[in-house]
Amino acid sequence: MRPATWLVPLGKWVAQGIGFFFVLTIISFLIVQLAPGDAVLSMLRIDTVAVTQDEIEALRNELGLNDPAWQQYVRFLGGVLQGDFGASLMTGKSVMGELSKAFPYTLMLAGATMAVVIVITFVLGGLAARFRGSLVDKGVAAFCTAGAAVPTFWLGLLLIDLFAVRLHILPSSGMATAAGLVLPTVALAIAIAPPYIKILRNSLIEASGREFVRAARARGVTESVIFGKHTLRDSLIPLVTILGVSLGSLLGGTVIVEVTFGIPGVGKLAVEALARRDYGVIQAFIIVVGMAIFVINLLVDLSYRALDPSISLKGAERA
Amino acid sequence: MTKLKIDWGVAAVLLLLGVLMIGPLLAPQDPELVDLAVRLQGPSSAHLLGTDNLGRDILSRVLTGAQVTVGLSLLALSLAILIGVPLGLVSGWIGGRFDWVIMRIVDTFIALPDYIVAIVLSGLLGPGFVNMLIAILAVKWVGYTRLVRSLVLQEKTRDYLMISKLAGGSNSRILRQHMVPHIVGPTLALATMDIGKVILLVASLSFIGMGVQPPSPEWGAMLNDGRAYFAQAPELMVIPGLAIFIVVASASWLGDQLMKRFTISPEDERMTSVLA
Amino acid sequence: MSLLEVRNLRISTRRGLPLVKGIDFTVEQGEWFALIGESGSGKSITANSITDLLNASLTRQADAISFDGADLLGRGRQPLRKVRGEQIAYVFQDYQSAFTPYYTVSNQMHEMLKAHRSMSADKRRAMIEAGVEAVGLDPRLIKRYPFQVSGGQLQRLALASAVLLKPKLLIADEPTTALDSWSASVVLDELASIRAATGCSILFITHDLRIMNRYADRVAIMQKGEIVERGSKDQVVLRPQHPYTRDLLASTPPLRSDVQRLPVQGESARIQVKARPQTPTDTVADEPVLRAQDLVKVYGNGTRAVDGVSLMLPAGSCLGLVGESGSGKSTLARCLLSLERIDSGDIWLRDQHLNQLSGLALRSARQQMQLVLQNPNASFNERLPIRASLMEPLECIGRSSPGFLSVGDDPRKVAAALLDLVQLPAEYLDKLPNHLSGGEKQRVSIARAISTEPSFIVLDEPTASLDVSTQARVLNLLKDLQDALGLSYLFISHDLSSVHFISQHLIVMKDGIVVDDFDRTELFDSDRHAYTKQLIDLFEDLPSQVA
Repeated sequence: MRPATWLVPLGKWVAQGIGFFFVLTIISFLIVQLAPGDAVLSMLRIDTVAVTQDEIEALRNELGLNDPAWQQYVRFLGGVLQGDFGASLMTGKSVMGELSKAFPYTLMLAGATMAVVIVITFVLGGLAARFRGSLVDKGVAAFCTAGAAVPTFWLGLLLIDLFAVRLHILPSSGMATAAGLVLPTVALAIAIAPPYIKILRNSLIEASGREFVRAARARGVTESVIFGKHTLRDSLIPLVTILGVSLGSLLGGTVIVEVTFGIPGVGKLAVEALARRDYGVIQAFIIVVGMAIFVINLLVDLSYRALDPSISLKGAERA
Repeated sequence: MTKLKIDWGVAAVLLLLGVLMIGPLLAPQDPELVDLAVRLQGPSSAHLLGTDNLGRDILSRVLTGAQVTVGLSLLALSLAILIGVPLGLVSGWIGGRFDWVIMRIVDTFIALPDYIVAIVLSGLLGPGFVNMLIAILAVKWVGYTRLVRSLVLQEKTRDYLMISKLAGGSNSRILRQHMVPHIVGPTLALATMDIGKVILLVASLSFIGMGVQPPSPEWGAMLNDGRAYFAQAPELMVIPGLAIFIVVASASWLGDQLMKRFTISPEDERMTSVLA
Repeated sequence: MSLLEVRNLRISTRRGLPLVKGIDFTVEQGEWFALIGESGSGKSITANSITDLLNASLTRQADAISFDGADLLGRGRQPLRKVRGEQIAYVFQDYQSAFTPYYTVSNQMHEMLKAHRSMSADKRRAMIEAGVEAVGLDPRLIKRYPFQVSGGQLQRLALASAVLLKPKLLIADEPTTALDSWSASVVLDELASIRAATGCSILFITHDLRIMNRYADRVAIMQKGEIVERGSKDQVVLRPQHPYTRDLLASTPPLRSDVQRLPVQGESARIQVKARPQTPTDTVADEPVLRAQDLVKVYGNGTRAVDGVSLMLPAGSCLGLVGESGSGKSTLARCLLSLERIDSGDIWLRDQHLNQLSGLALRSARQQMQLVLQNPNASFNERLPIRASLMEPLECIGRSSPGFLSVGDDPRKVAAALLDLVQLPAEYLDKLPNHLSGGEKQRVSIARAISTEPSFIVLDEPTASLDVSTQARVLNLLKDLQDALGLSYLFISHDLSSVHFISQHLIVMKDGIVVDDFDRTELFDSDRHAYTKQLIDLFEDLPSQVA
């Protein structure tokens, strides 16, 4: 794991990042072009009840909507590169400003959820693997099936009713205090954790049956070292490989949870923007979320390489 | 080939899905019949599960809503399979530039979270059955392409195909005789798991107001309607939620069973469990 | 007192299926004790059970397992851990799993020493370096990850770490089976010199009678979970008592004496074919079926897998191709079958210039060739019944029956007759491949290959994955079929004795190049290539075979 081997795919990553960025800008540009309904109409409708055809045309010209598509795209891209998505129709403030105000909430929710998911994954997955085939294992399996099947928003509403409305222990919405974070985090973690728990359980069991574990045991290595060093590392690899894909589902989940609990995060902003056809916000949302996912995938790839040296070393200096 | 054993769990789940598909026929009353005189009533002999804020029969609405929710999911999945499977089959089999292009598209779709794509799409297209179908299709086809392609790539390197090639077996013969049987089981397993996931997605979209519009009964929308009356009549929210929960749990349990039966490679199984 | 004594050892699955059925054996101080058996005989789990290394799915019972006067049976996990590595060490067949792939070899050798001794890192390093040098390797090698070290070297490193603490007993479970023959002989010699230097005992698990013959002092033969014969090596080899032992000994084709068939038991009568095929073979004698000139195949990474190979296969004969894994022999086979494109050279199938054909002509040329593969499990689509796989080539070609059968056109009858040729019952037609044993699958593969009356059949290590006794029966069958049907074979194997048994002419390949090319009778000529001579040494006959 020398630095040189880490740097090998750096060029590839940068190229991929740039490529993905352009794909995202094209998608978000096209979405507005292809969406049914006229952006101008929805824009004007906010202020005035009746609009004339002339007014529409004037605004179209002013916004450059009558230019050829490629000119519009270049203008759009220029704006994006400067972090300028125009002003939000809803508030009249800059889209980037709105988004960066909302972003910390989402980040906090996602981070807290991930932490909870990691804890329950290791506890439940570890227990299920350790007591394989027992009642504990079956209980964990049942929890996984139930957790994956329960609608997040419904669970959220039930939790609000129980803890906020009836017991008055926790706030029902918003994230003014840390306590406000508890219910949304729990609701989301229960929905996200099941596949991780199952995968960790299976890979722990798989890893403990590996030939190299037997070989280490035959050398007289202690059981705690075998578990902590050999089995655990082997079973983390499959977990990390799916992390990239499933962190996307975490971001998707935050949208639902933010709406349910009234958290002013990026997801709630996007849903409101969609309802009002506030295209600037939607475009910014697509690009920001897309790039966030790209960065997550990069981190996952890095940790994967750190866990399994054969990924970066194989072939490089084979004997 | 393999002896078919009657598995009661599997039979029960299939029966449940069957009953839900003919739900409207079983509904005792008109699900959209407003009767403000009997609003927010608890369970009674006239209304087995009580009535909602407009006096509509909840049992009838749940049963009718089943067809919308479950039917939409099944339809969307069938279309996703129809698009995704052949694409994966051809992409994996012929490889080369075609495969490269398909895989870049697949990568892009996988990189974007399904909920976000579905929410943005259905938000832009507006509410409605067809638009929702498009939104689900857009996020679901990719899983099948990916799974089928990886199964084909796996099977493509198998030695026995050398024998088929030597004997002069045509591509279509090899695909038909060797590849298709190989992908049927895993595809079925993924589809079954997906039923539950899509139902959740449909309900979530309706919940945030982007799905099927009132008054037509849909579980997620019913749940959202019930929110305001939770203190007085919790069943308004509890019943559709339970309905979703039971159907989704049954479908994913069935999918799990199928996964175990059709041995999928561990990597595929992992991917399926997060992609589905 | 024996170093190791095992009394009435029983191993069964958790569900109660017995795998080892009450065996007794001892290993004496300083001796090389060989436990011989085929797959499924229970020899490996016997070795693992001594220090309780069995999978959780197996249970062990015994009246006694004592080692150096101490009882190993009643001990808990912790004391047994001390015994492992320190007093009883293991070397396994799967060298790739000898070390965990996520850490360097050095890391894991230190880890082992830390588990047994408290000593400074410098002392450990010195001890490890000495141990690695003792097996003839550069100590710098252990700074690498296991996957960066070649197979033979990795197994020697595993051996070095096993004997680091000078154990009294070394258990070697098929340590050379997965290695090529040169690496295998290095590992075996290393093992012998370790025994000479430290005076440790060796419990050697193998299926290979030649290795047993060369190294073992005492032998026990295992079959289906029982020891059926035991005694000194000479006793067992020269005067075998049990029929199974005799069968095993008879299964190894001898190099020095000329035998037509291997004298294994339980074989049915020779094949009766109704009509001899009417191929040009009968009219033009000795016309080559297949000719290849200066074949070159270079892979994308620059490896010259096949580097200027020429060969000729006369009709009705068998050409043997000897080579180890990585010698390019399988690539050559695929090139000859036009399943892979060659980079230069020429191939003629009778008078057709094979490498210049394309489209329909290539397709019909391919149909004149057939292939039997090494791995019987990979040779069939496991979702299709045997009948579908067996009849696939005939169906593709559009014929209903091979000419040498006279059973009409009913596909089922044809399929049954084909199975009958390879001595399998017709009930097998409806079975799925995984209900057949490896040997049975290989027979179906052979039936499938002959069904289209091909000009020649490539047999790519057809017996490598089979047990020795099964291997002998398949070799006999191939010979019988050739006699009855006038088939031409290209027989590829790493096993010189099998190739020599079945072939009229042999070529020896190494690193993509043909290093030797000779008639069967010229094997012991003095002008054989050094590599061939080395192979001859490795496949030397058992004393029982030397007439």
